[in-house]
Amino acid sequence: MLSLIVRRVLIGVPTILGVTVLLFLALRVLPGDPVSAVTAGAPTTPEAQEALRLQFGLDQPLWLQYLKFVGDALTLDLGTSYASRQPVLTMIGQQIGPTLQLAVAAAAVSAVAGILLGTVAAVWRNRWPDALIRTLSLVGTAMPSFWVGLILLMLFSFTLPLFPATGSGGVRALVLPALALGLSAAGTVTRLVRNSMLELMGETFVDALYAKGLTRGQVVVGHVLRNAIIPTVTIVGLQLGALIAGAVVVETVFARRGIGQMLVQGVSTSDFPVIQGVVLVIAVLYVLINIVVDVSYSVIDPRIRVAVGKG
Amino acid sequence: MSIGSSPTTEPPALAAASHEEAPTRETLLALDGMTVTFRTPAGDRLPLVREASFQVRSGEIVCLVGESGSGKSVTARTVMGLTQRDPAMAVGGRAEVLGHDIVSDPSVTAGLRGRDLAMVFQEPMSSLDPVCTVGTQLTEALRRRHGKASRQAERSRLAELLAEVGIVDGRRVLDTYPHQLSGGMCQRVMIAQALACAPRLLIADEPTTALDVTIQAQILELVDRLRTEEQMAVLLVTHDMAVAAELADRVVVMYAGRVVEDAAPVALFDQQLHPYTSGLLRCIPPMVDERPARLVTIPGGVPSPAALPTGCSFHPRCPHSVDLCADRVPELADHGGRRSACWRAEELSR
Repeated sequence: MLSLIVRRVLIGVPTILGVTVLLFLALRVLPGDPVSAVTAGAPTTPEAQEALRLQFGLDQPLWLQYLKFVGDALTLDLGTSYASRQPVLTMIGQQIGPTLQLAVAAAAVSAVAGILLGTVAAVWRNRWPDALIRTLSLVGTAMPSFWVGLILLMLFSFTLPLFPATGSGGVRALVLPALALGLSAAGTVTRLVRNSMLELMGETFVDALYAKGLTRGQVVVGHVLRNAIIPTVTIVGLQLGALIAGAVVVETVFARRGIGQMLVQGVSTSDFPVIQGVVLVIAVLYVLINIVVDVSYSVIDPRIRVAVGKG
Repeated sequence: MSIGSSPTTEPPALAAASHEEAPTRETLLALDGMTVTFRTPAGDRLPLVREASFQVRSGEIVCLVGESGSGKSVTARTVMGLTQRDPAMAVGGRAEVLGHDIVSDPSVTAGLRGRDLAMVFQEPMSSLDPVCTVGTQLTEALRRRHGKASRQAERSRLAELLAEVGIVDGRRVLDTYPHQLSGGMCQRVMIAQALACAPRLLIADEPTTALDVTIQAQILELVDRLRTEEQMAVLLVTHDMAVAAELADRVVVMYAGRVVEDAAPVALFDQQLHPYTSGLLRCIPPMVDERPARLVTIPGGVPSPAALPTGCSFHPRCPHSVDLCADRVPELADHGGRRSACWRAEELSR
């Protein structure tokens, strides 16, 4: 079990390094000058601009800037925001809570809706509930989360004032963003659950379960669904990483606090340390979640659990 | 009738087949012209089983033999009511399972399964739910029949059942997952699961095909013992003529969805009243030193239900076919205590 974790961590390291290299290069190749963004609107001299450039370390060669960034990051120093002059790590620490809340709530929406709808679709295969659910899941997957968010806002905040349109406080403010983010993910889970259940229903052991007199409900819920949950946990776990990244967009739609808002701010002011910091944190979380999913997979699935326990 | 006189062994064969004197043999499975059809997506109805007729009585093992695609597994699954899971399958004719007409009231099998009716499958390794322990799965079967009891009582009863099928460390096996067991062990567990409901009719669909020979013999011995001790009726689907010769009280041969011959094994092996049965028996490699130049096979293959030949379905492969065989379907006719569906049965048996 330990060697499994160590192996996964070792695979994660190059992934994160790759992300940082790409990000670092992209930021410096794309248009947008941090210095002019910081001094925007204020009267400034070329000398003052040069001083800022020196202060930010932007005068140094690219490889040196990169090494410094990686080196600092290893000591948990993500630099200082150009705009707010606050340490980026502190800023992320203040903002990440609401983002994680949103991502976890969205993953829960995805799992619950996906498993329910997928089961219904599998049980009523090729009949109208299945057709309806398949269409919905396709539409759900195809619709971008900000669009779903806008529709939800229109329906449940403006037309029917059930939930607040913006804000970060409390569970009520979490409902619509979590739905917006989770429903598009639920489409994938629905189809996965439906297809794995249908595949399982053709297995001999399902015949054997009916043969020993179990009812359809007992077979479907107690055995088929139980088997189908295993791949589902993996997918929902992997989705959680993507949902943290996806929160960026939804937070903007709902004007929620979070690292998404922070990232959008950072991008609009070319605040390199903020962008780098947020993206690095998202990448690290993504890799960590993947590791947790891999390990949990071996805990949930007895076929793997026993092999790991022995090995 | 000429046929009755030629195989002289016939009356003793019937007597030998009934292992003990059991005057009250109850008919637990009676098929009378049962048909099973499959509706293709294009809307055609393919006949998978055509007018199957035979009976299984308590304390009796009836072997259903034939090549793959002969309809024997479909027959077994239909008796279990498992074909109902596929809406494209439809059952017709008459079929009585434990006295209940399953054609006019298909829902009745659901009530019988796990009580008086149980089944063992071809692939033991995939017959158990991979993510539940053996104990959990056996408990389900036990509770279906006997209701809920204390955990301790249930576990000791299950260990007893496992001991009965030759698993000595039953309590340990209860806590294992199916993938930790061998195929033979899984099949024993499946049989123990069938026993947990104390069935009167056991359907076994090629229970030993996936197992190696020594395990095969043990499993078959177990089935044989249950038949004798519990007076269980067993419908044993197999493609292995040797198994049929060993265990069966009667052998029912199926070809292309039809019963073509039905006889006691001794009589059947002595003389076949259908060329298909003869062909099947010739396909068994002889167990003597001199090797035959080549293995004998029946030329051709089982026709697809979508393209059945006219008349007798076997006529294109049959060495004895005449014009009549291609024209009209032969009835499954009685020949003195045994049955055959061949136009030339009497003539060829002379």
